[in-house]
Amino acid sequence: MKLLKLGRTFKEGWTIFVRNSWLSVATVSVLFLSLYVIGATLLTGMVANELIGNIEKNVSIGVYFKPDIDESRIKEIENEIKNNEDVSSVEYVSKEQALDKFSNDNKDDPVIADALNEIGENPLLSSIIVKAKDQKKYGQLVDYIESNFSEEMNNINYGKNKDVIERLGKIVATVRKIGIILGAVFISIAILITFNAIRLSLYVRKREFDVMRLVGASNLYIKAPSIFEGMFYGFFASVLAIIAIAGTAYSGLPLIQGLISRNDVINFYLSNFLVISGSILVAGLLVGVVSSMIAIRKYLKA
Amino acid sequence: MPNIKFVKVEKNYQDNKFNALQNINLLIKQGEFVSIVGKSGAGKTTLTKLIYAEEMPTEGDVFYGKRNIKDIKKKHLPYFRRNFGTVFQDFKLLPQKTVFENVAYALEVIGSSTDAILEEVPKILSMVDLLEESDKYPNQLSGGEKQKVALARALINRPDVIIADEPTGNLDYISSLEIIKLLLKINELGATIILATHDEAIVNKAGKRVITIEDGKIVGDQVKGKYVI
Repeated sequence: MKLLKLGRTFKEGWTIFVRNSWLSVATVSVLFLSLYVIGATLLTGMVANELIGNIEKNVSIGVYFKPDIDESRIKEIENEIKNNEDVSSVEYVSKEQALDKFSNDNKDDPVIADALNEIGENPLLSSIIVKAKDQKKYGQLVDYIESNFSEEMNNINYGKNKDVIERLGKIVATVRKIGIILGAVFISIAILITFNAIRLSLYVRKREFDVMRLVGASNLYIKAPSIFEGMFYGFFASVLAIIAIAGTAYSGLPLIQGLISRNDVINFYLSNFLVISGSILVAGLLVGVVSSMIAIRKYLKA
Repeated sequence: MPNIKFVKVEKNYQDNKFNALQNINLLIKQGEFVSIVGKSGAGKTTLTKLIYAEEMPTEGDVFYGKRNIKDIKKKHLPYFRRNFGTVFQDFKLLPQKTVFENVAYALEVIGSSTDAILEEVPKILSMVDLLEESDKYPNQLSGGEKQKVALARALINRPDVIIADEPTGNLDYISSLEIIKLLLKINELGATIILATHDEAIVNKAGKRVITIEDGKIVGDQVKGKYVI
């Protein structure tokens, strides 16, 4: 019997949703906009995290040696650094390998090729590339290398990457803050508008509630269609928001293609589809249901 | 079917400034047809509302059988009200539902099966002579027809008591007579009928017990009464 009543109230909720079509369109639109902002913020945050993670993976310390330091000494230093417990890998790059790579990277630039020919000898330095096990340990490792091998070292480059990461981190944090504030503002507006739309639709049906109570309908039986009505607002707004965010990911975000490990932002979106769309759907349904539950309380004294 | 009993009932509104009912003592036996008459504002509607617990007495007790309405928990009120069928002057039909759906709604809320609804509703609609209007909406019906739909909805659950509050207030004389005939027929089938009205013609036509109220007090109670104020 409960199932039968549930089915009937569901159908009733749908009828109200369709019957008040303009009110439904207005409510769904506002709720959709709010959910879109929240969803887009969520997606941006996830992509930014992926991006930062990817850059962090490529962070390393480049230790460049003076030209008069021979290869055997560099190898010794390499082994010593390898033994440090914070180090994940150490790679030796000879000056010849460095020149090959530099020439290869700039093979289309005749100015650089001419400059190298002019110099006549290899101007690059031998180096080792050090990677830490933990991103937080880079500072300590730089201190360790500088204090132990300063005599052999020409220079060490870590500061540049550090600045880039810190700047990126700040940008992402700001984007997140703006997203959260905008999302909170939009969701508050959405709750207010959904709440008022439902209240308006309930006000129109105020007399009907009296009739329902007179024929012996329980409060829950009267309430349920309005709760379903709120659910429909939330559901349709969420579906629209999910489609719009997919569209945004498809058309806008490929700008950062290649910067993240999964090549394709759409792939990234699809692999995180459940998290993003699930969050939007839950948020939409919650706003719809909670708004209608609050709105109907006023009309249901026994 | 239970009796309805009022014991020293007082009903006040506006922080006791307005006494709608004063010292009401009344027994309505099961299966009776009772007309409650009086001028507008005399207290007829308040008295009927106390029976189906739409209002609670300020003092005294109202019993339905052995149940004191004061003791009914709020959440049980909808179930208690299923003992009563109610009909009003303004019909109180659901405007977006057809005649069939309006009547069926009373069965839906108590969880009747679709098969039972499809069987019962046409029976009641033919009893009130509205079977052919099943698919019409309330705004397509005359006043008399609307009241018949309301009556059909009140009857569909086979309640013990039918409470009709000014059921002919918006109807012409012929339609009023039809409604009173239907109420008498329902009464013959065993239901208690409580008719609150100031329509002299239908009270006299019914020729049943008449309780007269004036300024919230019972001033007359005749077994086979006439409308006299």
